[in-house]
Amino acid sequence: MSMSIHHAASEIHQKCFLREWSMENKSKWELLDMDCLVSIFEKVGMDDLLLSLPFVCKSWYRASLQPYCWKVLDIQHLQSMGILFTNRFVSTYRIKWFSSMGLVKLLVKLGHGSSVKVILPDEFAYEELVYISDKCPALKFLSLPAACILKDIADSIPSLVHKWRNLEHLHLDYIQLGFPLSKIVEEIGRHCKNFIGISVNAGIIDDEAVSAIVTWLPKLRTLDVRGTTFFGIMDMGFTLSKKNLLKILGGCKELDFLAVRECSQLKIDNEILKKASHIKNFKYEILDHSSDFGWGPNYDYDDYCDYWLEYYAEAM
Amino acid sequence: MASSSSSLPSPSSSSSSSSSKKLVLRSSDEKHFEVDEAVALQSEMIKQMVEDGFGGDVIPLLNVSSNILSKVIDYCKKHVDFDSKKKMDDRRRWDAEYIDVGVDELYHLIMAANYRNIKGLLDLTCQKVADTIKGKKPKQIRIIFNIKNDVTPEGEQKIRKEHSWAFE
Repeated sequence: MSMSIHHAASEIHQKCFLREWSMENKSKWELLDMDCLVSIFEKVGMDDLLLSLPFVCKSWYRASLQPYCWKVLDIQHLQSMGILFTNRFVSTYRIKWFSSMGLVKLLVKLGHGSSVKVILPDEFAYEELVYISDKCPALKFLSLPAACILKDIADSIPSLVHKWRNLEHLHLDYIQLGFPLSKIVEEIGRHCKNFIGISVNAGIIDDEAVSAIVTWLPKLRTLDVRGTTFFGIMDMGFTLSKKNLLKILGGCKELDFLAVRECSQLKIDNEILKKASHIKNFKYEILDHSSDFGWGPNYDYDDYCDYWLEYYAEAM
Repeated sequence: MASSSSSLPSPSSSSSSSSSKKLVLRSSDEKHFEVDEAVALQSEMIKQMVEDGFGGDVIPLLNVSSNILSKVIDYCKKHVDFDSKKKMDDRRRWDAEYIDVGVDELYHLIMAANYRNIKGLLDLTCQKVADTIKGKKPKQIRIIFNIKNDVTPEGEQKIRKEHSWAFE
């Protein structure tokens, strides 16, 4: 062990033990209930879960194999660490070469197919999405980086939707022109009986997609659209027009959560407020261009976070 | 909030003057704690016991010592307050201060929260451990939590094999 690591760790250790505590109250972390260990592990990132925790002691290794630790597969997080992750993975497991398909196979196996939430990275191969669609029948929440999906891959996605039988929520990052959102929505309407929510982080929800939403997802409960503005001034993406928002409000009568964030061209006026008056949680912000950047009076960030925490808790 | 001993209520001396129903909890070292029913019912397990008709007498908590029980009661009292007021910022600040404890106390709080089934406290304690673990190497984790390394080199090799098949 290098001196610096030893020094830092022993300092923390000393600090912890300086507190008054008698010998009989010593903890035995290796004997902690499996349930508790799993509750801890599911709150740790997948990088630690793969690279560190299995090697601490036998009981922690066993806990790291519990499928519950792998109910959320945040592959985006691993990819965002780049070479830091892949190098550590290669040296920890002493493999000759790393492949993202190999990683997907490993993660899916660790989750025993019971993973409920998958966040795909910016760069992924179509085969990886096919593999996940085939092997994770419990999938409830899927996040796709729509901006980075090549056209031919995007056009194949609708044909996979029927495999996402338990899907409840689809998240899309930056929908580009030509992304087959309307086709995906139609397939979701046909095959995903528990589907309740769409969230879009920038991009365009066009007329065709809105028509598909009101036709195929009349029971939609959650819609969260977020535009992209540059310092609140310049529009980087126009997400949803007023006409289309009104159309959704008219067509999806069971909406109980609607969030419209950073859509500077979409003014929330009395007409919208009236049509949305039945919605329990309507979160929007008023961008005030005269000041730097302001949240509207109806925008309660804490409530918003609460909602998502509850949503995730339910989804798990 | 480093030590819970300062806030240890003496047996049956809870100062609350409200007329709400009280329950008496007994720690493993035979100390009694009188608490409002709403506070005790934060524990799903105690709730179940009360529903099953065990609430009238003293509720024994066999494997929770008085200093840990006192700390757990602190949490439940505060969160009964929070639940009625719902101020997220206050709650976060209070939680952060509350959970700033050593690894041994943290361990016993997790055990108590798990056994008593107090979801909020279990989440808070597990999150604290998770935050401590994040980004650390196995050796560092063992030192911080005083864990004996029982993984042999052969065992390590086995772990590697379990995970590396996907890259062959």
